[in-house]
Amino acid sequence: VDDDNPIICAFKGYAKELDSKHDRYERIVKHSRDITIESKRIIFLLHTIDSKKNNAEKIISDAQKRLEALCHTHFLSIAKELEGLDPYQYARAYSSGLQEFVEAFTFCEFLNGKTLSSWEDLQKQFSYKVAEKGNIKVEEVDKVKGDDEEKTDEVKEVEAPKDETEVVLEETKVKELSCLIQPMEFVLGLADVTGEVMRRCINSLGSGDIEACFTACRMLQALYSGYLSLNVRHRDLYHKTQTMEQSVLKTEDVCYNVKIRGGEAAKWGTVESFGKANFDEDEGFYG
Amino acid sequence: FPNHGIFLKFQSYLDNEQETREQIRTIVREIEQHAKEATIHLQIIHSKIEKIPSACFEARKCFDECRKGYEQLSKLIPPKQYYRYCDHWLFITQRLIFLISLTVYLEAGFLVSRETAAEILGLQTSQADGFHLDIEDYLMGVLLLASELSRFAKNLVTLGDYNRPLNISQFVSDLNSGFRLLNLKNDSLRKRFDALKYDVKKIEEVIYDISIRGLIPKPISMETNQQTSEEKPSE
Repeated sequence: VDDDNPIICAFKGYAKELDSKHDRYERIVKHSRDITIESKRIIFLLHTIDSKKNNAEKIISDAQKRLEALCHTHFLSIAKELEGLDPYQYARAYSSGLQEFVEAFTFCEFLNGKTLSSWEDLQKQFSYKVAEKGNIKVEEVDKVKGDDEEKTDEVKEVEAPKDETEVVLEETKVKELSCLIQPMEFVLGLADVTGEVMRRCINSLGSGDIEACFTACRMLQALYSGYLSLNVRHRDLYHKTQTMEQSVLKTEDVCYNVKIRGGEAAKWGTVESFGKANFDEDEGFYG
Repeated sequence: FPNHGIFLKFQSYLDNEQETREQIRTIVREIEQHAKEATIHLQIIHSKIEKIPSACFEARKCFDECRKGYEQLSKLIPPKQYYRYCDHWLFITQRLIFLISLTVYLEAGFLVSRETAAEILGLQTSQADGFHLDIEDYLMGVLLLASELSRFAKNLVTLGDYNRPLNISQFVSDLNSGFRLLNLKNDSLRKRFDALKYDVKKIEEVIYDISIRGLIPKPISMETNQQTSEEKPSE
């Protein structure tokens, strides 16, 4: 290769630039995969909530901790990769991880009986203040403050060290990082949660928690009408809304059976009609 | 429970975005119109060699018009949102880079640098400085140039210029070795690069045809480049 050739010289520079772009993309994809795996595990964990075992509180606080941990680790790493760049350039690299996270996060909120956060609330959680020396602190979120009364002691423990870092931060330079959440990604992730709520409804039926069935059904109806109110043409969103309709109909059937036959009978009555479909269906696999 | 506000907010977010996109589309359509004019001006190179300088001149006027369009775009796009909307102008930018690189090659015989190309369109080269020329778009434009030059080489022979195809051959083979230095992902750029070898082959066949007939005026040397540009007025 001729090093004096101006074209060759220029292309050597271009090669470097392209490589660094691709490398960054790959690194973000790796984080995204880890986020997806952990989010799926959290959702699985949340499904083990059983009214008979009375374990809801422990599992939810466990899940909250793990969700928060994701914000502090992988999402922070992505935010670091995006520092100073156009966040939309790499948004596709972590879109699947983000959607899965939104699903786990909102499912947790639903089981906790709270109002669902919007993407703006979540965006705040993904905004970080990082000291130049590497001390990390997540920006205080208003929403978290409001929930303190309900939350268990663990959350308060988490907050205590935050105050300490704040003192440290005053001495060092602080830079702000964030991991962009596109509203569309959020809404797509939120649509996925309906499948989990439907599953939850049927599981509750099995364990005889009738109240949970009705709660799930109301939740799905509210979500579904929200999605129907949207005026967009987006292929994924369209498919997800259709799948959502199926989930809504299934939960409505469950509630109907419970009402008409009583909890015990509905459990038997639904085994054939829902048992199979329930396990066949997994997010990401609908045609 | 889901608060309905989420969906209201989302809808208004979508509506806003839609409006921005429509404004972008209007500007991009204008740029496309000017780019088309430049394309038409430059088509003359395949039939009338003597008109090349004036075609380049006309093309450059069109580029000036395009620059105005890009200026409007850069005002419209908020900072750090280039990639949110870039699919609207990606294609036309690649086209324009091709036209610019062709013009510069016809005028001066070398490959326009990314910096110069960006300057002609009033764009930055680095993302940090604002509305910029993406590296992949630049490279795509250069690949389009190679195809055009393979056609040009053939027509030059038809028109009796046996000298310039040699130049083109050298130039395109340099481009080819340049692209070999890149690690391309399996995307559209990669696919377009795969077509480059056919352009190289076509030009080599032209050179072969004229050389076996003894039509090559002189062995390829460093001077050929200058010589052709000197010959132009006398033709």
